[in-house]
Amino acid sequence: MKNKIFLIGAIIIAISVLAYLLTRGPSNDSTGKIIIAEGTQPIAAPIYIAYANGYFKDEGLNVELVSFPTGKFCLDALIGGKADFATVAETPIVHATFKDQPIRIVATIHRSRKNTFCIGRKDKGVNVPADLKGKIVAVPFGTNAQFALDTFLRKNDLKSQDLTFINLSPPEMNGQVLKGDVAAVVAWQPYIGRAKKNLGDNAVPFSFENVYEETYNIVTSVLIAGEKKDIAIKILKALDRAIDFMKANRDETIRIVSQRIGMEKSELDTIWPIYNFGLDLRQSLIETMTLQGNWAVKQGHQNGQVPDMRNFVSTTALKVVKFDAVSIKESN
Amino acid sequence: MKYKAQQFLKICAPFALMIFFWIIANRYSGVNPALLPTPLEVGNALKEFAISGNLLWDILWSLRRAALGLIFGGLLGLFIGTITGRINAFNWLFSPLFNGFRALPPVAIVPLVIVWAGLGESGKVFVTTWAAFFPVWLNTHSGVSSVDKGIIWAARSLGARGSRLLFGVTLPAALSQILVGFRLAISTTLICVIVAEMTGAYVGLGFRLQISYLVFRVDRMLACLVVLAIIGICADRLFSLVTTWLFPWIKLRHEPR
Repeated sequence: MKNKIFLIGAIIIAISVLAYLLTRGPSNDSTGKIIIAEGTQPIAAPIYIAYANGYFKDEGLNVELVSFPTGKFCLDALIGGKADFATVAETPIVHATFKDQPIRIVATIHRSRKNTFCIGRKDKGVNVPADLKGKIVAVPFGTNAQFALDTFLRKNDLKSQDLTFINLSPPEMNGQVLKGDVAAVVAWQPYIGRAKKNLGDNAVPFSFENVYEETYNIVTSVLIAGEKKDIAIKILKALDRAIDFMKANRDETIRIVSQRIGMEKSELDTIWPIYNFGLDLRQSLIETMTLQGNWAVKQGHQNGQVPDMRNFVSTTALKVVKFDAVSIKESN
Repeated sequence: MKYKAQQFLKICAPFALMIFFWIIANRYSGVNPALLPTPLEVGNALKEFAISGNLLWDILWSLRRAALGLIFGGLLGLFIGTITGRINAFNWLFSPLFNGFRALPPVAIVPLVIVWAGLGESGKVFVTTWAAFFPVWLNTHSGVSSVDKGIIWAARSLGARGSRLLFGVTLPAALSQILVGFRLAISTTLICVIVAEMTGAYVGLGFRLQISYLVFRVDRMLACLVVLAIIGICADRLFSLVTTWLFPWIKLRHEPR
């Protein structure tokens, strides 16, 4: 009987160890693999181009790309130690700064005023922004889309309390737009573009061009931004090369991105003009992040004082790659 | 007095132990403190929720969705479990299907439910009904089909037929098993209401949990889980008390002594 118990115990332990070994995610092992968590969006294009064209290898880096559905997941992977770099918009970074997370933005790779906007439904009585009052609007909470919507509402003399917000991730929005459960949706490309296309003449787009300029950033750990800054410098050099390639080879870029994220080339071709790729660290990033910090406190998402966002930016690596691209004054 | 003190200690000791290990883990595990807040930080987050007024509304809405699901799913499970337990043709026709559906995780069906039923309450109540149905159906089916044939024959020989046989003999004999099904359904319903509220909601504990995750507030996430755990414990305890009062002859399995 005792032998049977030991045997069963040994089998259970063996299965558990096997399951652990088989389900372990990517990790930094001694071979020096650099893991970049990317958010499976067209705006991560410089990463895809650098990877596909071997620019990371040319810098002597063994890079692995790990895909996540959104930038928030990428940032979680970085903070959890499962990735060395993450691609993420500024809003999740702002939330992380309130917890003084050991992360640093090393570069912005994309900016746009047209990537995120709102689509209203005519048949729900939405023709102008004021019609949103009393309606249900779907928006992904905690993201730059929510911040942009709040700012848009204020600019149109509306308050958040005038509407009912429903938390919905962008991939889920298309179905709801078509079903008619919501009067409007807010998201980023390509999802918002798909919603607009499916609604046809029933769609009423509200641009956020005058609301704010969103950014997509490369974030890394304090260790890599500081002691191991050579890695960050090499990554940025590869990305800089990728952006030059993208500017000279539009069709090939779209082909590579389409293949990587599973989007139709024709769809990418349509929305490509709204994207602005380039490596920089501008003072406007700090201003935007500070604004979002104030917004997060006002919304009740965060408590206390808004952190000094300059503490979460490292300009060292980018200054080596492209000195003129840095206009942020780091904190002392 | 000594007995009451012992009972009080028995109830508090597991939680005190859990908080002790929690503090040790926070201090000495090397885990990022933002990812593992202290019990005090979680308590403060809970206080924030309570003061803001969100906590009460979130609890009420989650309970409403869970309760409706438990009622609909429970009654449906009871009805269908009785049929499949007593009538062979229904058993071999429907049981394989139900066993297949039972294996589907609620997380997988929520997106489908949203597409079919939309973002309204009907979709969320469908998910909780789904969660409640299977444990009740399975336990009712099992209880009804395993009622001692001798009891059935004896009742028939005394003239019991149809509904009298069903409500007077079969269901009372299977009652213990049926109650186990309902007790399991309480926890599965509470789990699924959280899952259903994570998408397409603007109130509820699941919604609050998801928002807290998106804005990097692990303390609030844990506060939501603490509230959920308390609700689960209270619901289970209430169920035990009510069933003991209604059916004092039934001893539910795994009842703590």
